[in-house]
Amino acid sequence: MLHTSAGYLLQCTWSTRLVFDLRNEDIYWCTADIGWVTGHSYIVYGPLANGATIVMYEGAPDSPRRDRFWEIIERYKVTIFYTSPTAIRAFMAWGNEWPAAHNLKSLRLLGSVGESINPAAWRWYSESIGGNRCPIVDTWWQTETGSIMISPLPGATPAKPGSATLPLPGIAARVVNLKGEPVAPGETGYLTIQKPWPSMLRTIYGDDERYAREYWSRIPGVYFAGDAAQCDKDGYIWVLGRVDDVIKVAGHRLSSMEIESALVSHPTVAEAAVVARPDEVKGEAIICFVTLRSGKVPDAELRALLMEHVAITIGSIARPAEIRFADMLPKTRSGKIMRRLLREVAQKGGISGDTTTLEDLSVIERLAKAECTDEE
Amino acid sequence: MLEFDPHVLDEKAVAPPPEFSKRAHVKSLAEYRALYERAANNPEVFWAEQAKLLHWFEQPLQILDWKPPHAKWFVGGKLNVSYNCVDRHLEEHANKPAILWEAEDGSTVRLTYSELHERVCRFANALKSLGVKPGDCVTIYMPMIPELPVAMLACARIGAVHSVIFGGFSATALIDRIGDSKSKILITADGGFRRGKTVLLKETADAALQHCPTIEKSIVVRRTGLKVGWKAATFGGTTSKRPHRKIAQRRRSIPSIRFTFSTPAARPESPRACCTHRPDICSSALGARD
Repeated sequence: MLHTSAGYLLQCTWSTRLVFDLRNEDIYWCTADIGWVTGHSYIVYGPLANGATIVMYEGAPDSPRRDRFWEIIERYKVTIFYTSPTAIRAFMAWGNEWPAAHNLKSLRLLGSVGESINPAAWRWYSESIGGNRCPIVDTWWQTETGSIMISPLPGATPAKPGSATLPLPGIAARVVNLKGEPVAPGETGYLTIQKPWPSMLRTIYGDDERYAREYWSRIPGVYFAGDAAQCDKDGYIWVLGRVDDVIKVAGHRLSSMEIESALVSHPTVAEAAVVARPDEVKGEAIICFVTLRSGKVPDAELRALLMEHVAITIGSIARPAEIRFADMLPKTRSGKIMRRLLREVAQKGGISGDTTTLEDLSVIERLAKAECTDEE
Repeated sequence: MLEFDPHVLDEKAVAPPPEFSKRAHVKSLAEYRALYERAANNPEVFWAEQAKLLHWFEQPLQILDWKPPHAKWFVGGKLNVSYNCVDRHLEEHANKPAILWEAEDGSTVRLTYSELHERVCRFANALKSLGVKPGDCVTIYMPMIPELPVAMLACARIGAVHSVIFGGFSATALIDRIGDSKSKILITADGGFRRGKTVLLKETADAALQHCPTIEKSIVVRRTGLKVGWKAATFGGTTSKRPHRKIAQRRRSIPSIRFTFSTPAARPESPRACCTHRPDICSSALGARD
């Protein structure tokens, strides 16, 4: 994606000030890694362009103990804390005693980024970290949007746990059907942005045609975010999940295609299809369906080997939660792998709906029955 | 339409704490709605107003040139990202902390805006002396250390494009991304620390560089003190009493790199910043003009 300077910097700067209600005396900490877009926009450019004081931490939240983040907040008197639902769910699982051992009274605002935060995690975050006095800004945006697009303004917008609430001023976000018509409250549609915004991606590097096709043609004339969403009667936007093959593990976007390429680069693998399954902590887990080259035997050892292979090829963030071996993958008549079916198999272990374009129906049954394994 | 579980749509609204609202930039839903309305009715006027948050060397002549789906924002405007993030704060906030960094082992680094400025200038000059020109792409593959934002801002300062690659990515991922960006320079570190373990970034980078013909030189920041393959070279900077930064080079050997303290002319360059087509990596805003 191509981002350019002025528009990108402007919207980062403006949204940091507005969404985090930034003031000169704030101590601001975003826990993302700068290698991801959140770190670009909300550790480096947005806060520094505002002249803010930022906290930056090198390591893991549980090193040496599970209260490292709370210790840092106490030590630096952090006032604004921005982290991910995945991290929050991990903190929840670790227990209240860790934050309770620290003075977190300096905090005045909490933020969440990476995916929609589930209400249980929202409540825990508000109570155990925010002492029920800090507003929470649940921010929706993407690498493509460059900066925050939908979020409560902390002094103005009543929050609803799980909703990114309302678009920022200047951002024409709408939930529509494929014809581009607004959907009724409570109906699922596609999240779109109807008008250009300053920090928008400008193109896909070296591929204008693909940029137009992927983002502006699904629903002609508007930006297609690739997220399913609903709008409630108050106009609040609820982002429900991806509609494409992007997988979000711990809020980080991974391309299913890249994981598939990693798998087929292994000499034992003939074909691979990768889908996501909801995961309580990480949001989504990576599930791989693999067919082996003839003569190769599917067993636990090979499964472990392939998991390691993906982790080495891409990075441990892409380590699959499950690898399922199959005789063949379900394909349409034109030879396209039917990910929708695989997603259903991964999530429920069965299929429903229209399978008339399937080449070999029996394959689904075998896939569902294929032995699966959890990450050890 | 795909089916999703509308799991949470019946959540009750939680009003902002009154104490917070009282001091907030936007104090009420009514105020937000008025702002939204105004922006929706005349977006270009709205964004022109917001543009005053930045320092422009030359004001934009046109706010938006929209030829769907291609947008040009702030046409004719010139600014420098690094100047906006650092230099312009020096007058009033030179001694304000910009970065409070904490290592996993508990050691700390505190950089004021004036110290950040100095580091960014030095790094920018080092990049220039390595031949980095406006529009060139620099790949950054680093742990979460202060030199990472310094390197990004240094690229921005001289109009280079940066492509930051998450330090957890493998050599293969690095090869793909460097190939996409055609970077000439790689900035990395001898390693990093996470959960008490040493992450061998340089080793991964070395493995990747076997397959990255576009990379001419790499800069290696010392973090762990591990022995890594490099040729030490010093950034001149003879007027400085600070420890010299070291630099490693591949392929072309430069015995020493001149390092000055003069602020390079903050002349904005052509619009640059790229991401490759992958959704998970991004680089941003470097040069100046949009």
